[in-house]
Amino acid sequence: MQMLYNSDCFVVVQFDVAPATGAAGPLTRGGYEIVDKFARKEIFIEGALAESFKLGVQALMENSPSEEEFDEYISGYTALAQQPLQLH
Amino acid sequence: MQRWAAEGGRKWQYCAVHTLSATRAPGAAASGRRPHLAPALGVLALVLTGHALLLGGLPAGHAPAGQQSPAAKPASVLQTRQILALAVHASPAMHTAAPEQQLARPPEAVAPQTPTRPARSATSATSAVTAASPAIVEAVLAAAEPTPSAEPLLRLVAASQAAAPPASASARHSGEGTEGTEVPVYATRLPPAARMQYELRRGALRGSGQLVWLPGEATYGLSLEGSAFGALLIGQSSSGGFDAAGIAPLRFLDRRRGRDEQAANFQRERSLITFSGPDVQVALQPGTQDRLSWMLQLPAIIEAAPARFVPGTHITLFVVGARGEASVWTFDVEARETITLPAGTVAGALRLKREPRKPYDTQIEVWLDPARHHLPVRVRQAVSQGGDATEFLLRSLGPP
Repeated sequence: MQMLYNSDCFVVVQFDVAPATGAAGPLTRGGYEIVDKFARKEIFIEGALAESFKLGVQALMENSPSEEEFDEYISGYTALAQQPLQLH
Repeated sequence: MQRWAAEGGRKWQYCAVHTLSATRAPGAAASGRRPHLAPALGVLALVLTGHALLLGGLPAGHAPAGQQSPAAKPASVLQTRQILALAVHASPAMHTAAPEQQLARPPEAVAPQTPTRPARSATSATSAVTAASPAIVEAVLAAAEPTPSAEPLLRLVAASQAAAPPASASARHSGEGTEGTEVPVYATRLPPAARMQYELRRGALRGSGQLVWLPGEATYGLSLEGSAFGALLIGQSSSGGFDAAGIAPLRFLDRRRGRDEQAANFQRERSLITFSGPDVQVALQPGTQDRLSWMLQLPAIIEAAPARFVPGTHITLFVVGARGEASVWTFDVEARETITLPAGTVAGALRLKREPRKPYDTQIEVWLDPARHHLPVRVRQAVSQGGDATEFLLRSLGPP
């Protein structure tokens, strides 16, 4: 678990789940958890969606973007967020 | 009375001129005294132009049309004026552009013209002219496509640049040069080999970084990488040897995401630094560092005399980047601080700060841990008036 992004609006955390012992191939189960601090909701994305999220961030990073630009990009993914955030 | 009459006469003259030019038909410049002929001449001009176009197959406004018809004359007059205006505009720039230029140009554009030696002194006349010459080129290029009269000007500029590269080199940062900052040679004591893991922060982005220092008997290797979201943000490496001034780089490589790799080559036998990108040369002086090796040279200087560098003292280095940028970096030893890092609490870290000297210059804050050979445990680099600062915070330090 590694924090990748932490702005006033969003937190992005990367989860790397080790493959089950004995599993063949490079298949790992991991993804990103995006927390919307204001809506108090979070979403976990994995697989193809996580990959496209990462590629989008990398493309953004080429132009040294501002925090607002990052937040705007991330908000495109949190529109799908359903899971209410529980503070504990 | 006489004066009034004279004034009245002048007024009348002005009026007369005004009336004449008002009644003159457009396109009949030569026949101002006979306004009633103008329409006929205009029609003639139109017909002639039409014929000329049909016969010659040439674009309108070209030289033949201008010779044959008076109607085309105003156009050529206008062109001449444009050239004159260009020349007039360019020549004052010779005298005034130098200070403006340093402020106005962004870092990427400034860098190629940045070769500078702080100790070198040039006559003010040469420096003014050479510093201004890129401005002329820009002005000419920006104003219009090269016109016949602008071409010699361009050639002149190119010649003056080719003739005096060292002068233009010292002229770029004439402000820095006149400060007369002497770069001293310090005693050094190099830290042992180390691999340092950092947490990287840039704005809201979090990533990881790694500094690897591999000193050998006569050579060293040094690299710094920083990445976030699986993409490289910073990738620098420096290699070379050692001399009486400490770390003596031979080659510095800098690659950043979205840009080509750039290199600075320290040609020690020629006492020159050359670059893979911009065609500039910087004279190599003892103790010169690159934009990565300073991170080890600074600890080495302090390790050699830890009692000397108390808050209030300074360390001055000459630092060269991979894009031809070269300048004096003066680190002010500011304070001893206790800071908390992912690696734990560091007591008595020595905080040094390099203030930017001009817009788009690099601002650096670095915390050196006396318990870790004064290696940098926290580094904060920012470009003044630029984007977010990049910060490295120590996670762990171990053998390479």
